[in-house]
Amino acid sequence: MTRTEDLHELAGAYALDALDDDERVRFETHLRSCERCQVEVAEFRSVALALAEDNHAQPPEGLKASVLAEVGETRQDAPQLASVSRGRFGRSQSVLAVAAAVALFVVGAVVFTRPDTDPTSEVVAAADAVVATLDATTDGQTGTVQVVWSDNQDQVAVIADGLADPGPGMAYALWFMLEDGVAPAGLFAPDDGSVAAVLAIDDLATTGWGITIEPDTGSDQPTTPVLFAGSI
Amino acid sequence: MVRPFRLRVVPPPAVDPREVSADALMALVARGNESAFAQLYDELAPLIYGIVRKVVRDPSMSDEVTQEIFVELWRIAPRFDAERGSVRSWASTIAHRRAVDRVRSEESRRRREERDHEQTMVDATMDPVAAAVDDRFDRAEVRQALDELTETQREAITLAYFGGKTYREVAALLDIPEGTAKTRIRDGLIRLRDKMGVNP
Ligand SMILES: [Zn+2]
Repeated sequence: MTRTEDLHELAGAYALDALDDDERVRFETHLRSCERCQVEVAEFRSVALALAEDNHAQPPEGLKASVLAEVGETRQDAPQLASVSRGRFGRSQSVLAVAAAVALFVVGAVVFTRPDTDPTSEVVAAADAVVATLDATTDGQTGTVQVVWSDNQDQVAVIADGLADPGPGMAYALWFMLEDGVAPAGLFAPDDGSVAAVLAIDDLATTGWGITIEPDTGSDQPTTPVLFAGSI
Repeated sequence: MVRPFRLRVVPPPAVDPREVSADALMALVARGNESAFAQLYDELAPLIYGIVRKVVRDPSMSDEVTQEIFVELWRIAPRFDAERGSVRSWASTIAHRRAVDRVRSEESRRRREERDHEQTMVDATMDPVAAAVDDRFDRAEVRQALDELTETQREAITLAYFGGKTYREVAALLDIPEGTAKTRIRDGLIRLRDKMGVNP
């Protein structure tokens, strides 16, 4: 079981979790440097997902409540740990060296990448957070936008992905949808399509949110068509 | 107080929370939003429970394992990387690994009384597989593709995936050489992949 050709052959069994522990570790070492197996494993996992999607089963009623109760008491991992520890999941002959390296990385990760460096996390985790998922108003519109709003904190978080570049001198604008009109809630600019921005807001009984592209100096009213909209 | 402006409002489309995809919810779950996680549970529970029940079989142990899986999904959600695949694919990979871990550790516990559970905690989702495969399949297509496999291929894949067996166990159960079991699994998956039109 040392020939590379044999290791390629294990991609199928690996993707289905059908390897013994020893063989799995050996294959994972191979996987890190074998692009062909990386592609195959990803494809085979999609096939496995398709099999599982055809095999749904309803969990018992009470399970959701016990899951959510335990989740309420469980701290989440720091976001950056993954990229740091990626590729370190296998076992090494030098266990001590790996343990020391991981410990160093973990310390580094805690110092530099605390979860609360994401400006939106405070609003999103607020007890009174209200979430609205905005829908694209036209078919061709790309991206996903979520707005999270906390009255207690007088803040609204905009979390978006896959947004188009608004163009030079332009920015995205978030609008309150009021019963008798709209009002500006603030401007934000995507970084490579992504947004994790927090805008300060005043108390306002808004019924929803809208997004347009405006000059980056701001507008009193929308000057372009609404791209995303959602109610609360 | 922001002064409202009297303008024609484009009526916002109503958002049905049930239609919010697991991928859209993940951005919020990754930031500690528990109500988004409750929605994510609804989205994923039939998929996850379906996998666990098949592999683990025992109902009360299945509940326990399902709960462990969802708590783990919550815990590691901030590390989820959308560029490496969909939430459903990520969650089903973790669920299957955990279910298989449980079955195997139960088996060896029966065999040897004690065993080190730590070693099963290797993180299946952090391996460097290629990113983002299209996960949307038609159910009828899946069944048809399965039907078109040879019997050994189909049995080997079913025993491995839903039975939680290693390919060596599959070989013993089907009374075929181990190398053959390994090859049947991979060949079968390749045929399913090609029939389903999986494109990386
Ligand atoms: Zn390979």
